[in-house]
Amino acid sequence: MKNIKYVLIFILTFMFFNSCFNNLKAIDYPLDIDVVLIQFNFDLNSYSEDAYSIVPGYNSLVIQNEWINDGGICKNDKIAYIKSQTNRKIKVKFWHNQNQSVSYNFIIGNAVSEGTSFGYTPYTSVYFPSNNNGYSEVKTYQLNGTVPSSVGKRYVKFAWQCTNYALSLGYTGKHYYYTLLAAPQAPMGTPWTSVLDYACVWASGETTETNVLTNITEGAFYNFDVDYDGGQTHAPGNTFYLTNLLSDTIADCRDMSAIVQIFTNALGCSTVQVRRILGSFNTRIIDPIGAPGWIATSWLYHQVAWKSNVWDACLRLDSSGPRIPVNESIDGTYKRNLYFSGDWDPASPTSFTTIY
Amino acid sequence: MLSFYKNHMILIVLFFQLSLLFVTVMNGQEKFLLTSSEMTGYELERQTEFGWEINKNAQLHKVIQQKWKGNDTLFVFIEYGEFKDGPTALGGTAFAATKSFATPYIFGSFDGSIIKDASWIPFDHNSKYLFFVRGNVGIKLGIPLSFTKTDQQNLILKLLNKIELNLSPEVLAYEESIRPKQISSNDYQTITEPVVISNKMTNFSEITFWNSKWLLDSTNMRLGIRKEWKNDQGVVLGIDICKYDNDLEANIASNFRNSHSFFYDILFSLENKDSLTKIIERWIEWGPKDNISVLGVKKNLTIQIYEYNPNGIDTNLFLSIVEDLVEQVSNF
Repeated sequence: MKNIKYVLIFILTFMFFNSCFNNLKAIDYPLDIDVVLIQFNFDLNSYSEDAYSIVPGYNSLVIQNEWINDGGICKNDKIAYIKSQTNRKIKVKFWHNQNQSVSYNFIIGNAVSEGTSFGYTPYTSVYFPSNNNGYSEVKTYQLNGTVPSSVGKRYVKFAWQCTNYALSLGYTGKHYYYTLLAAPQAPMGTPWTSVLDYACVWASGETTETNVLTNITEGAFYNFDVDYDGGQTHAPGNTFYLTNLLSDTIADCRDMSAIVQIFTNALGCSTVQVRRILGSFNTRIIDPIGAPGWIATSWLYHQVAWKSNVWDACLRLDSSGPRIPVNESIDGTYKRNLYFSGDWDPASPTSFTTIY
Repeated sequence: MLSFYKNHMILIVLFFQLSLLFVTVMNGQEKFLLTSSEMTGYELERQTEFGWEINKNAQLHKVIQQKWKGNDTLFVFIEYGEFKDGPTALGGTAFAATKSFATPYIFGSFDGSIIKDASWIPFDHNSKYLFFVRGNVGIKLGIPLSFTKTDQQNLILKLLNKIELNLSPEVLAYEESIRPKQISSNDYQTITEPVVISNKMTNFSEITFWNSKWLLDSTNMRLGIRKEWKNDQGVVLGIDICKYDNDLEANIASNFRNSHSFFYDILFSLENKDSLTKIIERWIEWGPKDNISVLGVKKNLTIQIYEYNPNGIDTNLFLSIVEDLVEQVSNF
């Protein structure tokens, strides 16, 4: 009995040291492990666990495999989440420089090095199978932490470590990510990064639809860098040629109303429409977007964004105390400061439904 | 809905790409498009499908938009809209020009002379756009304010020449088919000659003659005669007269032309001088200072008289010329 006990102790001790020996013996220093792929949006059918699907612009594929640094291929694409989301997952692939005929397990995770976090990974075992060119499995991490609770465009930089070998894997990022108010709405259900670059900055810090709408309206007037021109448009009917507008320097009231509707749709606002005020009418002194400054003019009609009230990114009213009309009654102060003479006939609200 | 878009994103994108190619090819609009060799000094920055509002319905008429880049601040926009026939082109382009933009477009052109079948410019001159129609093709042109008159004329001529070269036999055949009902040159001269040779039009020389188009409905139109005279001050005076089978047709055509000419009513009765006076008064309140247009109807005749004066319209003189023409029509 006593002998069996010693044999068992010997066997167990042998196995322990053998495994340690194997691990110790398998590492050919210097050890190098790289992060080669990070997938933030890996499920195109859902955003319940991962990032929200976004595209660069019209006619583009959904952005996936956002971070790549592998054999000369480098990529760092933007990401989108909805505010206050928790339990986000990411998928990561690594590469090591060790003997490829041997399998390994390394304990790898990250910490936030810079920026604003939407979560960080735990340190957990990552399996590197043999004969896989040094690549690991694609590891799914459940992040600790919460997406910021307001709209914005932020970044995070991760510092990666292999803890069982006290090895720094270096940094990934800056990973730029948009935080949306809610799930984006049609016709910008899959938002364009070229839209979010404006919308998330203009509405940065906001947490309600009304405040988002106000900031988008004001942001569009001050920061969209176009000049008013009522003789041209990118938004005939219910169609918005946004790609063209993004490369042009002129806009009319239909364009600006479309920007407010579509850009708020991209952030998750569903109730913004547009409304036309039929004329013709002469205006009071107004300041249309960009050039030419304060003027009075005549319009066949005017078009605004609409959510119970007027949200007009096309102009400022009242040269004695300039303001951009936000949340104003269409027949109240808005009309008093815009309309001088002629016909004033607000039509029913409609929506832009097609974007190119 | 969102998951549907996600699942079928690639298919949706491919569909739109193919649709654009299909529309471009099937419409045949490419034969009217200016090419790089015709736009020397410019680079074609984009050529895309675009849409015109041509009626009150939501569906847009597909056109091709070109954006030509001369330099970082010099751009030319051209939109080409091909329609199934002349009447549809005239009605559709007229609506697109005069009803679909916040800034009203009015009957006219950069130098006052109406281009081919019809042309329109924004009334406030803050930007330089021009719509014109020839046959079954509508064109919208956007040029820099810095363009000289020569630049303008050269570009417009290029577009017109290309359209004329590529008009279908059917379009031309239709125009020939309605020619028999056109007012005769003699009748036109009988009405206009006494006014043209009067001292009110001293120093004016005839500059253009065109078979004008007056819409009866979406598929029918009549040919009129339109002549323009110009003096050395750059003042252009145009007289466009059309004759119809009956009074009803004249009224219908005048209403169409009225809605296509100005953003307020310019139609008056030749039998009622007060109605003319009201139009002039309204022009004084609303109208551009260098462009005026009035449209008269009597029995089976319609007449449109317009003036462009870069130095500002002399309303008394214009009114006097119109009254003289009204008298000629009344005696006809």
